[in-house]
Amino acid sequence: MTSASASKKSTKNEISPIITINKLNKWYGKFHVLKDIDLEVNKTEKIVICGPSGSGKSTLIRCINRLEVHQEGSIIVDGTELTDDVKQINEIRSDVGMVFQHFNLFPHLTVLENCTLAPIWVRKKSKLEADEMAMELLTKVKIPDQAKKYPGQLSGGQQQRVAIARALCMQPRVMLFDEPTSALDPEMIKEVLETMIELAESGMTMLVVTHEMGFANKVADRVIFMDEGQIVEQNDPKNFFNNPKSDRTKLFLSQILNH
Amino acid sequence: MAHFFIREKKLSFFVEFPKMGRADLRDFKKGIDESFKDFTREYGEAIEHFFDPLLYFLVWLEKLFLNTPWPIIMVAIAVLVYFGSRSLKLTIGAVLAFLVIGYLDMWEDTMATLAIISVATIVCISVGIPIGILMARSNRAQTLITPILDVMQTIPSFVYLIPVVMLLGIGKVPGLLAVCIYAIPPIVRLTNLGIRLVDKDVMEASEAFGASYSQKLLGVQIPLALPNIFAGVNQTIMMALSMVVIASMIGVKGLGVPVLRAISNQYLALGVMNGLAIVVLAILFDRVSQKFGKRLQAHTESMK
Ligand SMILES: Nc1ncnc2c1ncn2[C@@H]1O[C@H](COP(=O)(O)OP(=O)(O)OP(=O)(O)O)[C@@H](O)[C@H]1O
Ligand SMILES: [Mg+2]
Repeated sequence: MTSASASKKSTKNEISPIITINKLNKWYGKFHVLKDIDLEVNKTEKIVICGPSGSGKSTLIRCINRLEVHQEGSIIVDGTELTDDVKQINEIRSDVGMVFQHFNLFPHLTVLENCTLAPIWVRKKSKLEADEMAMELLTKVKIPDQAKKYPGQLSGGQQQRVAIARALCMQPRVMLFDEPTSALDPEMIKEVLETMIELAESGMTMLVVTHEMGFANKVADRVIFMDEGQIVEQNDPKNFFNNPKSDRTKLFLSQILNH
Repeated sequence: MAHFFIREKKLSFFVEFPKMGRADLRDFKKGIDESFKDFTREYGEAIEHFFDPLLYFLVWLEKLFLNTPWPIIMVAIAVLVYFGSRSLKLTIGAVLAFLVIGYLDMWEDTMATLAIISVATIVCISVGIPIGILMARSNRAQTLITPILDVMQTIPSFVYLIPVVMLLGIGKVPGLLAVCIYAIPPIVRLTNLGIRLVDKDVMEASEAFGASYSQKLLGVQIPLALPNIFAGVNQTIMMALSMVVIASMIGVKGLGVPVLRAISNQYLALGVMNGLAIVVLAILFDRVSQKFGKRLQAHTESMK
């Protein structure tokens, strides 16, 4: 079913999964957070994940770059399976960009240094090269003039855009977003969403945990609804919003759309 | 023995604490002393040589401080204080304080004290920070090292002077060791604490792009822990200064020597003057390093 719905959407792209998750199970102690998750993400596909608080959305996308360790099943990212091998983990992490709810910028570094740190460390770029690319990306997220400031001097929206630019500086093959706008004031949500929409249009593969249904409608190839650690329903946005199948999805949608 | 307790003097068990026999106890202590003496005879020289570089460095620094003409030292102090604190008031205060110290004929002792404090601080930093990092990295190391630090901070200094002197005799190196043993705990503790307090979210950001352990440590944890590490350095310097007098008892030159002389001869003025010189050094070190630490923290603070 997954591949069927995916192939419909990404007609112009070759259909090859960049992330393959198979029978993924994870427990926190006795608590079963993720239950038999199967998921394939194709190149350039945009997936929006939603669901009630505590349903395991964050845990799922954090498993993809092993910020969380899973106990059963397999996760294959770009042909490499996630195991305990630190080298492999770091290789996958360098190819997977992550944007956090609370930005998590390095407070002791300037905006520019935040962006160049990883390329210099991990990609072994020269400072000059890294600076050049960082400035280019900061221009793309529309804050090149803030490059010399420290994160603490920026607004939340600006910080999140820096965080996006920072992740893009690694030239990732996939971008993960964990509720990137939920810590922001309403007037700043828009500027971050615009940045994300542009990124989506550029062909990036994206997994986005968000409750911004406008964004999902506009950008997503597929919307996934999670509840109690399971993928309850997934569909293209039109069908997902207009005729949800499961009662749990209906309830959830009625709650967030009336909000 | 048992028979004696039970039948005849049942009560004496409660009245008198059951002691180890006097002869046994003497043998026990003697045994320890003897084996430590053996250890000293066997390894004392090797250990002394191990510390030779430290001795050369200390002697060299002392000579440098003493042989440099005083106006040059004064300028150096003014420059260091200014660049540490960026405060003109503090710089002028420091210069005045050193002028008074020199005028009251305490220049040479002050230079000797500065030399040993500098060397002790360098030793404490270069040993203490790695230990602190180790403690932050491993919980087991933390549970192992914390009680040792507790002992080092609470045991009366005279007690560890005994084995140090037995091992290395009287002189600069044992004095330096005594100072370091006393002064190193804060820097270890605050390095550990500082690293452990670094925001987990920020660490995660560096993990998420595949940074190696040493990159995370040097690029994120230590810079963010720097204000705490610096507070540790400050405390270490303060504690080293407070050991100056005790270190003088085992042959370290400096402001402690006249204080000791003053105690045994009841020279009130001499004691107070040299004591105050130590206080002045302490205040200067403290103010300068605190101002410096605050500057390190500047942009991190505007975050909150
Ligand atoms: N480190 C942890 N230890 C124990 N339980 C955890 C841990 N992290 C998360 N959980 C639990 O796992 C469940 C899923 O958490 P997760 O953060 O993935 O939810 P979420 O769907 O992202 O929710 P939210 O919308 O609130 O962010 C929650 O019930 C949470 O309490
Ligand atoms: Mg979450």
